[in-house]
Amino acid sequence: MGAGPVRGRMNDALKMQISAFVDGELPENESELLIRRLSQDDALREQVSEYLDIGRRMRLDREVPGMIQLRGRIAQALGDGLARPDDEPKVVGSRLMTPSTGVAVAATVAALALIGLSQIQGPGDPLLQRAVAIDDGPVIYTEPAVDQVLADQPSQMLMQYYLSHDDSSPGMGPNGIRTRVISLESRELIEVGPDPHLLPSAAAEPDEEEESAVDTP
Amino acid sequence: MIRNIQSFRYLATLTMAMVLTACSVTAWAQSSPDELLDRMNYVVNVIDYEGTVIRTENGESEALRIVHKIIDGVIHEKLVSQEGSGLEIIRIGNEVHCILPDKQTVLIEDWNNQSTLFSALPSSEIRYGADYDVSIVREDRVAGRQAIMLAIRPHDEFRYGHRIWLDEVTSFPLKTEIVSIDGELIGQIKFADIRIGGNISKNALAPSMSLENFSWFRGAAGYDAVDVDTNWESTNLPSGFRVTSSKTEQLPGADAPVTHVVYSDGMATVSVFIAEKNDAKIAEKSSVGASNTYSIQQGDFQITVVGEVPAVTVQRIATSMQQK
Repeated sequence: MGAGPVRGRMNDALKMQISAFVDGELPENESELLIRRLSQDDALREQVSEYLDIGRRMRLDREVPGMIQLRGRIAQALGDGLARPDDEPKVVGSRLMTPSTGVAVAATVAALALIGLSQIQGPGDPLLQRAVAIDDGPVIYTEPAVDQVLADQPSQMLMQYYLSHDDSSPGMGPNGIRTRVISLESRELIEVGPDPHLLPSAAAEPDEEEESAVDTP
Repeated sequence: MIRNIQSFRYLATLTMAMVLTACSVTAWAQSSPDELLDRMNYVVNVIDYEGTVIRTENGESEALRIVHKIIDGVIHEKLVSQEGSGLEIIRIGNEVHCILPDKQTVLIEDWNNQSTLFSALPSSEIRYGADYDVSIVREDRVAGRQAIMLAIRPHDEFRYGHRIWLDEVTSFPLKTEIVSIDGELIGQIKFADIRIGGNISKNALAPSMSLENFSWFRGAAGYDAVDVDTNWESTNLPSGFRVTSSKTEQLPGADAPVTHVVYSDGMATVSVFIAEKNDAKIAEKSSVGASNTYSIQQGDFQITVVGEVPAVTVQRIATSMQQK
């Protein structure tokens, strides 16, 4: 890593703050400040990257959801800093990357929480590493870093491959459910009306008569 | 008439329960592993159940509440995460509703296949060739019920093994594990508690909350697939794997159709996707639980292999894909 201007040091308080964020226990206002600070201080971000990397190795290379979220938030902060008004309509690809797709982002986050997709493991800890890899120059985050940050998210294409693979695989276990849910990330979503099947009147049908359990210990 | 049908279904279910109870307690000891697995395949498709499932993957666990009921031949299923925001997934046949309570949103998806939490294994004829052994290991106890543990062991490092704990009475899978060749646990699903059959209320399948003020979204339609004869093949395929299908698919987000070749050894399935090289970036390696991927560029093509097999297998297949 290069030796960019050091504007911050990673002290115990910051470590605790990062740990709290990763564990989902940092209040939103403090989270905002943390993200802002990390997105503006490349040296500090490098230290955080190393800190997270050490933590991950201690967990035998397992990611935790908070780490992905932290990288995503930093990526978003970096992206926001670069956005120009005339760029916005040109954003293509996943609906998740556009401002109007908060729903799908939410779906993904929720799905991650449910199915542990956060455990998708790629080589290294790429998002932060790439982001800090450019710190030899001025403290400006160039588009390639942002592109890399986005590219290292589970890609749309890979999600589609998982989905298609699942169609071809009888599979045993939860793979079907998992793949289907994670595919929400890369789906175009169309707003529709409520499904009457799930409205209270349909959902609360009277039960059929009692049947016997096969065996209930 | 409807009442008669209901009575008939009730009697049929009761009879099935009595037959299962009477036969299985003594019969499992004389059953072959294949017969037990065939019975499991039947049971997972016809039986109603509800309980709490613990999923463990990559050393992390989560609890899910599940209700599964067949109504007029249609699978109804509800999964509720017992952690986090309380995400609910409600399935009615091939339609799935993903309820996000914290975002007051419902997402509707069409599922083309019949994936359930406990899918059936392939039929015994194709389940495993010379690449796996299957055996009854021991009796055990899972979710407060007596179970029979079966092991499906691979002969080499190119596939995972499976351990399955079947309910002694019904042959329902109470616990399943995917393990590596050296016995390392890759993933596990087990019931902490379960109720099989009986009166599972339709209301148990309903959302746990009012969706009155929720926004509803539907995923766009799926993709087109056409069967083709492909000139792509693996020149270093692990033993036992063979082509089960080859198609071209127009996947959402892809500029051009991709070629999709499926290999199977009867238990494990591996997909090979061959796409024209473009700017889309795919990580060279990734893994989700038991699923591994490997992606490589070869000439003007991007080859990506996905499968519930060890990383070494997807890498070997990806790097050996050639045009005839």
